[in-house]
Amino acid sequence: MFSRPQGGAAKSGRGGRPILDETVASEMVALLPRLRRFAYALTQSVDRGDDLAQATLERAITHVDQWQRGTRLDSWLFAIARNLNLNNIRARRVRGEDRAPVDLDDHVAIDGEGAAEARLTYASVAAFVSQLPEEQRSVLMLNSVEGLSYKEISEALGLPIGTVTSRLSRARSAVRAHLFRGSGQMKTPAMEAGR
Amino acid sequence: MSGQIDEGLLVAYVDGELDAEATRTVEARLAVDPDARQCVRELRESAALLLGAFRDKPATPVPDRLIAIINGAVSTQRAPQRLVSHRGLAAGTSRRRVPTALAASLATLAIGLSSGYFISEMRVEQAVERGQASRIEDRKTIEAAVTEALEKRLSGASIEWASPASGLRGAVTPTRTFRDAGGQWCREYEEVIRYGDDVEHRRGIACRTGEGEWKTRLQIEDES
Repeated sequence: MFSRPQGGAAKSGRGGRPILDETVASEMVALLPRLRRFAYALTQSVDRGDDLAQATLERAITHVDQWQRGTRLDSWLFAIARNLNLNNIRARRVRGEDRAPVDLDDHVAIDGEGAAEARLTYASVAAFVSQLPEEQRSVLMLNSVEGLSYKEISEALGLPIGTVTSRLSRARSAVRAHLFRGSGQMKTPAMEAGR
Repeated sequence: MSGQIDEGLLVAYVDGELDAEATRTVEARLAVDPDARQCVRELRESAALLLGAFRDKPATPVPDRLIAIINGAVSTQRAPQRLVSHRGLAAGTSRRRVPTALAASLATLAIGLSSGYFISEMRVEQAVERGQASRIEDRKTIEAAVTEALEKRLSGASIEWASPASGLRGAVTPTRTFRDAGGQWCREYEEVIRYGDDVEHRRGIACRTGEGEWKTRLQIEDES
């Protein structure tokens, strides 16, 4: 429906290394805040998140010829970030290291004595999300924070839409149960059904 | 009524991902099930809190090294392009489907649920897939109506359309015609999209690029 600039995203520079055209480069710069935010949520740390964002950009630039013009650049970057992060998690596991320590900087977990009202805070949500399995956390971020539809997530991550739907369902149920647990309201049907 | 409604179905409902039939089923259930209504309220509130918790994170400014990586890879052989595309402008915004609110008039909906009704996860997935398919159909229907209105209607005259699969309907009305600086014919238009009692208003500008071909340059959703 909309006109697109002509030509591929990549041109070969000296030494055959792909280089970006101005349009793609400025779109990437505009996406940086969202890429950092996603990387931060995946790694649970500002520093590790920025390292992941950097690795994502480096990979995206050297493989920019694999990006299809006209498809979403943001989805493509998110998918690269997620894959790199999964590789990091596997590598740490192989080396016998535990999970990376959680240092969601200013997000402080509230437990025990916190009033019901205090539980309904951003800090509590973020701390809870950081404890979800990676497969749920990544789709949750893409849906609830980055605003991708189920179909867009399914395409970006190469997952069947049913997998996206059920991971999101589990994640959102868990967040709701965390936030409203003990408020005397509805129990979680999914848990009662023994799933 | 026995049995609780599947929470996965309510999650997909809150996200506007269900097809028309499953949406009606959920809304019929909500009309008679206060627990399910409470669950929907809590899911909506959790979604808002999730967004709020991460929206402005991380709080530190974008490090220069990240910008430098991109700038360092830019071709210098090409003249800089000053292309502000519609696509580019929309890149940073959330792209929720239209319309996301689904508060159809509950009172008018028929309630035909058998007791012990329980929709399985499989049926949720099927409903989500059908919802996707009908949204693609909706988009085609809307684009066809916009093109026809721009091409064939005087300013002030409308084209109406309806999508039986999703229950969406609406109208497109060109409001003004002008030539842009490059001599291309352009028209402003208004759109109304209805789903049940929900109404959404949009305005746009499109320019004629060929026989029966219009490209939208700008689209604004009005607060309604």
